[in-house]
Amino acid sequence: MIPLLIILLLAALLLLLIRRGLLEVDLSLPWFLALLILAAASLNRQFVEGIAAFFGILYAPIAIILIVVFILLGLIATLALAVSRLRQRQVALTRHLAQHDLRRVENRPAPDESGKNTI
Amino acid sequence: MAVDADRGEQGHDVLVFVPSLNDVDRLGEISQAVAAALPLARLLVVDDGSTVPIDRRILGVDDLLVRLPTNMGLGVATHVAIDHALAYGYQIMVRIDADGQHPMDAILELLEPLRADREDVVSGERLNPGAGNGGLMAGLVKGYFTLVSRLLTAGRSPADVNTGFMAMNRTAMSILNGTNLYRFPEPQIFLTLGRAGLRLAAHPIHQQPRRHGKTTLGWFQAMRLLYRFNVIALNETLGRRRRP
Repeated sequence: MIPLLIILLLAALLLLLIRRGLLEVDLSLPWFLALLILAAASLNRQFVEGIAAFFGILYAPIAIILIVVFILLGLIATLALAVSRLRQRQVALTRHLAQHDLRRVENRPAPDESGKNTI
Repeated sequence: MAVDADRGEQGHDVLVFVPSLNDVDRLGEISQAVAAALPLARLLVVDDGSTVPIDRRILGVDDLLVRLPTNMGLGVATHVAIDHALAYGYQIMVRIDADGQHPMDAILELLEPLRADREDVVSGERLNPGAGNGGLMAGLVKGYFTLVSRLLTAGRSPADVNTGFMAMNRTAMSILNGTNLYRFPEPQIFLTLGRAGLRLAAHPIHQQPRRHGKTTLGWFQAMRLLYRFNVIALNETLGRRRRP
């Protein structure tokens, strides 16, 4: 009962963060999946025993630690990908802005843009 | 291919790119020296998020100045210059550093083989690389970059792949335009262009000493540089060869 309450509380917290605009909906999906897996692990003994048997872990509760480690790795990887995408967009925006500024200073359109003098 | 008739009249076929990060002391001198040595060239200063924005008045009237909103790194600054050079039909882009270490009179020697279409990229090979660049760590890291670059390009890359003094034609610019240049992009530039089969040449120069400060490389920074370069080198080796 207590594990279920904790999971529900965390889910409510997740929803609150999304509603307040503090967490992007897309980025909340891995967290949601993590909560689902933790809920399954805390409510279903056979799930944990199955994982333990698959990995050859003799003491089944240790499998929960393994599950948590994999969840954390997955979350970190997701965040790293998100940060990389942000960086790429930041660079693209910077280049676009710089060209906009230079276009004003050059005081003329780029030759391709003017449509003149093209061969 | 677009031809800019205006440029033919003005003769602005060379873009001299100067990246600057909190390095303004010699920009005025550089602007005047470039105007004297290359009256046909256009100077583009890219302020890579300096703490104090560069004062436009220290540059010449025809010089271009663009300020990036935050420090994005030399790779992005180089992309800004290449984007502009390609968009406005510049045939050659020269890069020189804002610290005034690169001799202005050597620019013409870099340009000559490019104009004659004998080379695609000409770099200034420092005969005295120790001037202003301190530290055993920096020397080791740069030596490694040079060794790997020459191995992967079958000797095509220059002996000094860490130099920021270089000139390149539109072919080289187009190839770099399709890549992602990172911080400290010099070895990546020579590695990428060498692997693409471009003609790379080096011209010996004597680097002026720094007026203040020196390059220092701590262990952590060295490890990051090594890691980044190795990943780029592996990527270039495994990926499809870029063709001009």
